[in-house]
Amino acid sequence: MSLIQLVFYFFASLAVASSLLMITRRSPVYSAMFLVLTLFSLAAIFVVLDAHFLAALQVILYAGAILVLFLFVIMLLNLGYDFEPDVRGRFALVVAGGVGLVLLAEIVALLSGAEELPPVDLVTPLLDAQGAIGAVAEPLFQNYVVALEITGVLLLVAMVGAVVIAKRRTV
Amino acid sequence: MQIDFSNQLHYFWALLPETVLIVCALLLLVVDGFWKGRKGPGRAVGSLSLVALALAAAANYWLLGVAEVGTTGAVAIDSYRIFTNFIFLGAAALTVLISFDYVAREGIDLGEYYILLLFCVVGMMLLAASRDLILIFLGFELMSFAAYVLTAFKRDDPKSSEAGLKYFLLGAFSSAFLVYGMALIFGAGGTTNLGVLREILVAGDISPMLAGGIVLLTIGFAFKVSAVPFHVWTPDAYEGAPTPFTAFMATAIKAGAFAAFIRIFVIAFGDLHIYWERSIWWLAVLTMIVPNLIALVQDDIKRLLAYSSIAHAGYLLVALISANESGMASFLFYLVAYTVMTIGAFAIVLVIAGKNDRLQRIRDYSGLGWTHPWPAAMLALFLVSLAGLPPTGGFIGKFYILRASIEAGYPNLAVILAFATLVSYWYYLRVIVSMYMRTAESPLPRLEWSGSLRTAVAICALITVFLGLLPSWPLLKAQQSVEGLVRVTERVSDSFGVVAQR
Repeated sequence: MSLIQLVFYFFASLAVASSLLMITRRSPVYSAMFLVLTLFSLAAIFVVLDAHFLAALQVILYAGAILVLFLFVIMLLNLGYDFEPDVRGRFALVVAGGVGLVLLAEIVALLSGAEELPPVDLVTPLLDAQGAIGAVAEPLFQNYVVALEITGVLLLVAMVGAVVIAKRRTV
Repeated sequence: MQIDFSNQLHYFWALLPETVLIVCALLLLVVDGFWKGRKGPGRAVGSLSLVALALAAAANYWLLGVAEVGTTGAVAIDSYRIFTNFIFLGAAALTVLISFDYVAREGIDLGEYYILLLFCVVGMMLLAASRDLILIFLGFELMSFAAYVLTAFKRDDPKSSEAGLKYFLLGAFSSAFLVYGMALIFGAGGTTNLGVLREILVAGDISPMLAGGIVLLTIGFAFKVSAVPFHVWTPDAYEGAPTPFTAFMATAIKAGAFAAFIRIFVIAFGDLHIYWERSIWWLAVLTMIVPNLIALVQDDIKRLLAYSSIAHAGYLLVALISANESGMASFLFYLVAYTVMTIGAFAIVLVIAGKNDRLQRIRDYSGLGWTHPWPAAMLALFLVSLAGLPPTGGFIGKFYILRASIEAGYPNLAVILAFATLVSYWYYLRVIVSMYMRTAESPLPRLEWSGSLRTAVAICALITVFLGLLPSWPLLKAQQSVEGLVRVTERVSDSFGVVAQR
């Protein structure tokens, strides 16, 4: 096992473990902190994959800005004192856990049948030709330019909708 | 005009109807914000949104004369898209017409109502147009975000807020399924472009990753079109939403989801039919049987229509699973008929409900045929059409779906469809019996329905009857718009293979 694989497995297991911890903690603040850890490990995996620019974005945007917003909202709304479990009753727990295990077994069975693809280095020539930012920017503003514009409209709609629901105005 | 996507500018022309609608919606947002009149801007914005829809329809008509180079552009320019676009725009226009009275009566006369409706239509048009998984996902989200807000639009009504929250949570959950499925398909095919995927993915050589992707996509779409057993959010969301928007949800939003469903499964994955037909077969059977049984015991007319709309999704799934040209043509035809009859029925329901939606029980409809003959006659017409009795569009539509499913080698589905329809007669006719054969317990107050609402109901009634009496021209148009989308020769051999297998 090469060093790069070792690093990958370390961060991959860290990501899985911290996301499991995130959904099992009772306090939302702890959950948010474990989410930060998950996103950081994903950023590290991006670095392993030679996607340095994406890794930087991941840290700055997700682990940085968005998570800070989460924490602000949690603290402002003073959440975290109502410890009501999502799954009520032992029966629901058993059924939900059983279905989850069956799905997991299916995915494992499905993926164990997949043959390993030979490693092809697609990233290095791309990075040499365009640099880390160009490799992200070119598809974003050429092939997927429509998707980019639609995302802008989508965010606008979300904003308008939030204002409509939040602001009580009498006609 | 020739569209060639190697030139980025041509995306603008290819998406002209969507662009027109987005620009109009943005302008209306500004109008709404700077409105200085004494009364609120709601009414004016509503009327202007009708103009916006008309402009988009004109742009859509212009698209008919446009040809595209190749079949792998991110945006498809085919008559399937143009036909469905007309359905979305028409449904939105009818919804705006029946909304005027309602929003004034319920005190939610805000300009944003119509603006969000326009954005919702943009999302649907993208769903019908996209030949790229990323764009389809964004179209879903654009449509759904607007829909969540509109469902919770009656902010002072806890029922509406509850419906909005439920719809939002389940919608987000189903989007997760969709996006996971799309990611797996991207992993299996190496591209998100459906035109390219169609050439790459061949039957017989299907990887586990692709199978997982198709399963997850099926689940995601089943949520979005509210197929049983993924339908539990539907009655609550439909009941709590403002009634005109319920009509829109039951028709246009379902049509939008179905448009993308067909674009992915029938057109792009048509060669993989044997892999997905089993699961969708079961979905279709359950979706036809279960809601029809539940609807038998409903007392609230809005819930009854909600369950009826779930059952109709089952009939549309039969058209989808046929995956041949007559299946898609019957799908388009049925969609038109279903849209007008459902919007018409909800329009009458919202008029009779009165302020704060008080009168929604079937009991409240007793004697309506004698005290208010016109609304009762219209509602009876729409219910008869929903039940699928001649001489209405619903009958012809169901007939074509039956024919397509038999042609495709699914006689068992056709039999189940016929039986489900027989069961559904009971609850549709129960309302009609209550209107004409019972005496009113407490007479209804004078109904308030303005000119715009009457216009909408008249248009719906005319189209319903027209489709029932003279179906050949619309059916010809529907057939022309799906020509060449499905690879006929290969599909025929496929379905024979399936038949032989059984």
